[in-house]
Amino acid sequence: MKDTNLGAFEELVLLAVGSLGDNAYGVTIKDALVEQTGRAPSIGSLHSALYRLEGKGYLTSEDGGATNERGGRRKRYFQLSSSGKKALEAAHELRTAFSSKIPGLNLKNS
Amino acid sequence: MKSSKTTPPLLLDWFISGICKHEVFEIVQGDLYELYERNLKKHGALKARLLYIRDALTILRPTLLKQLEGNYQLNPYGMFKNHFKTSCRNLKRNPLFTIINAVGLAISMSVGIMIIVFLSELYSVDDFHEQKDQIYRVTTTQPGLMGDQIDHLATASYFVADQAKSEIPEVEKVAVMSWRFKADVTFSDKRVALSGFYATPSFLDILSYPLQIGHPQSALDQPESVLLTASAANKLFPDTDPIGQWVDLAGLGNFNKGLVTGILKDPPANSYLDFDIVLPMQSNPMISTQFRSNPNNTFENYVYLLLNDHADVEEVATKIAALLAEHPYDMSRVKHTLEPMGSFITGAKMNANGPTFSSRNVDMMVGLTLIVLLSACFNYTNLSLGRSLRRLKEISIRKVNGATRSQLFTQLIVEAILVSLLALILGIALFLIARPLLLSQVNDLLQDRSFFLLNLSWIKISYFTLFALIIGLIAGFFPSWILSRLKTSLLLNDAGKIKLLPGMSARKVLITFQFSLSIGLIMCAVMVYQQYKFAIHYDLGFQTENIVNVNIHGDYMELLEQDYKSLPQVLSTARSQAVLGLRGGQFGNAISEDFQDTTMYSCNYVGGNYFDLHEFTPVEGSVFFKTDSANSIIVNQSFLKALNLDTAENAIGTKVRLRDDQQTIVSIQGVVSDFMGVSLDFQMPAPFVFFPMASGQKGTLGLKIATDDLLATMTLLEKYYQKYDLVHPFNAQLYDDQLASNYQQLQSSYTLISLLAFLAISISTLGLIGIAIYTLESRLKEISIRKVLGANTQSLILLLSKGFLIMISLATILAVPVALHVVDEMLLQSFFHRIDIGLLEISSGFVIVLLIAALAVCTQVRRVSVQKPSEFLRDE
Repeated sequence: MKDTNLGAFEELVLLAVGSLGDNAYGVTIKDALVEQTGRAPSIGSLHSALYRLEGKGYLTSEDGGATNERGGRRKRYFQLSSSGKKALEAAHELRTAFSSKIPGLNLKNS
Repeated sequence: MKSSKTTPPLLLDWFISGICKHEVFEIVQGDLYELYERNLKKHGALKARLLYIRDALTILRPTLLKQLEGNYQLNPYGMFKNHFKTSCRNLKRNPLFTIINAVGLAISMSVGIMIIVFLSELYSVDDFHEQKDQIYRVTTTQPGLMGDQIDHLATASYFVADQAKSEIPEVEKVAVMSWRFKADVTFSDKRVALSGFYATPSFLDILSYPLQIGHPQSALDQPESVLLTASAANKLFPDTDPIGQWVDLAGLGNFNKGLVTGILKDPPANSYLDFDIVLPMQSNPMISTQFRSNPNNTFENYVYLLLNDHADVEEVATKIAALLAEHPYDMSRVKHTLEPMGSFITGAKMNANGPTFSSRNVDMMVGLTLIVLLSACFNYTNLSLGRSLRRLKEISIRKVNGATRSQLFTQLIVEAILVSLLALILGIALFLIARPLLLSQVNDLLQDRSFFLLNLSWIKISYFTLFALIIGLIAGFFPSWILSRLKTSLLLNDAGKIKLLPGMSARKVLITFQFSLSIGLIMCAVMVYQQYKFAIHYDLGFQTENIVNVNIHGDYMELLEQDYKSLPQVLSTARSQAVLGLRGGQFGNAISEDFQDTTMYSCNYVGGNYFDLHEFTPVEGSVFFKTDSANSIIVNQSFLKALNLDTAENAIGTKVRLRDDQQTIVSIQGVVSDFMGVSLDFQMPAPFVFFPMASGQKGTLGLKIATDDLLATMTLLEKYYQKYDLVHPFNAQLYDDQLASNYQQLQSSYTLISLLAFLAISISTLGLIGIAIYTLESRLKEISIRKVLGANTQSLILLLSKGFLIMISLATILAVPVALHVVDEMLLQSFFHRIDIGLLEISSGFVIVLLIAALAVCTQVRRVSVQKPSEFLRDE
């Protein structure tokens, strides 16, 4: 179970990768996260989360082209895998099912 | 500089690329650069750089860092396990080689262990004194009484002690002690022989010999006070409280009743001073007011000063000199110095009150040990290099398989350390085997007191382990470094062509040096042994065979003599005061009756048939003291010559004045031919005078014995002795044994030197074997070709041993003069009658070393020369 466990930050990173579609690499993911949450994750924590998620099989990655502004370094594009999608769904279900047990909390329209 | 401002910090990049996971790094760095470019436009160079640094540092987290792999793991257990295993296998595969190496190191390591233990004990002497750093002994340098030598005395005058106490402010306390005395102490029916000294009360304040019972302030105050050590008190008062008991003291002149006022704890084994009893200085019969005020009386007392903690020692010494200069006597020939307590034992003073082990000896020991150790390390290196020619293939295959240089190096070092740890175990075993021998030799040299214990402790053993590790590192470093450096292609191509070491000649020089050391030591051992044999077989001029000397401590000698005479085993008996031929003796001054001639003489007091028993050669007159011959003397021929009494016939009846007062006039009753009255390393006047021995005197009873069972006879003699004396243990020795024990020190030196010689030979032979193996292994092909062309084993041995013969000859040329000098100046310098040094002594070292070396080389040459040439030539 440990491997499929999803942390809060990891969940956000998965969501960001999924929302970016084909253009998800380090800098864009960071920008998306800043835009959505208002807080900038550090490059280190972001990459370590990406690395972990790839290890768990929630993300796949492929090398992209090198650009000049990157000092000749290649980009690595990330994509949500099917098990990544499942994990997001499971996490969402767990949340809704859990929070519905809280009396007086109206989540229907959210 | 300008461009560097627009690029991210490269040093940081390099650092991160070194420790970050490789697959992650490129992507992360790309992101970092992209962000940097963006920030550069938005915020400018400085902020962009700072942000870059902040972001880059966030990468340093466990998931993104490189995992340590293989031998880069933080826990190198696996690596060491592998090294350990392969080392063990390697060592097992060449058992002979391993044993030679380990034994060579073990021998020298046992010497190292011995020295470490010995020195640690030597330098911890007197450590229990709380004020050790502030205690000094006043020593004296003055011209000797006899001859023109300078005496270095451990004693000083009472005058200096008194003056220093009152006149020199830096001196806090002064203690004065006398020479050691021996006294018989009696309490009711118990009687024990104790030794000790007189001391001033401050003795207890300065030195840390705590009182078990009694008050330090008052224990030595009264003239009748007696302090005993706990063990002496236990002997004397097994079941009484000793404090406040009166004891009888015998053998101390006028002081014959004492009151026990305190019990001292037994002095520890590492105490410089050794005593059972301490008496107050004021009851010392020698110390009078007159004596105390004369600064010339430098010979009788030890003066200890306690200086305050900021005193300048030099200044105090100057002040003492100034005090002496003020004295009305001319004291310019007497010099005083202050000796710190730490160097009492190494001070080498003439009349020291404790054991002496001169610092020159310490230096010599440390030097020899270092030579031995370094030689052993060097031999290991030599042997390993020699053998490693055979291991080149192993090493190259390791390299081909990807072993890095550092891995090879560690592996070879681990092997060396393994050998040295093995050697340590052997070395400790050797040390434990040799310990009793060493202990007796060392303690013999130091006044026969069990002063050194040479104990091992776990702390010392852990030091030795460290020591062994260091030795292993030193010994293994060079071969490991050389072997791990070699290029693989070279190794696999043609191993024969590789020159491992350019310094072949340097190694030969070292081997030659080792050989000259062994040759020199063998020569010393042979010469000392010859001198020992010479000394104990020296014709003294009288008979000592089958004579037992019994020490007599009381006035019962004549009664005991009568008893002994009745025994069938005792042929004849004779009384005498001293035993001739031993160290020391009495001497006096004689003047001819007409005051014309004067001479110093040695003397002895003897009973009637002394000359008969010892078979002195009579020359003239009667050589038998009758009971009425109180004023007669018997002299030797030298005495006549010294007093210009021309012929022995005329001399009989001549009157001679004796002693300083010139009052006693005696007449010569008989003349014996010259003989040797002292040991060969002791100088006494050659003229000799025998006085008749008065009845009731103490001394020695000589018994001519005829028996097959000496032990039973001794027991019988003891039984008779105990009828008269129960206090002093029965002490009887064969005269010849006593003479031999004269030269105990010579024998000790002989044993120690032989031991060292043995070590040196073993080590240099190992070194030679190392060189031989190396030479042979690198000339295998040449030898094989020679064999194919028809050379036989003998001619090969000859060919290969030529070089070694030259080395040994060179070593001999170096060693002989040095050894002769050392023997002359240091070992036998005290002997007045010496052996003639002949060809035997000079060639001994050369011959022995040559034989051993030849044996060593021949076995190696044989090993190679019996191998089939095809083995080595088939690859060509």
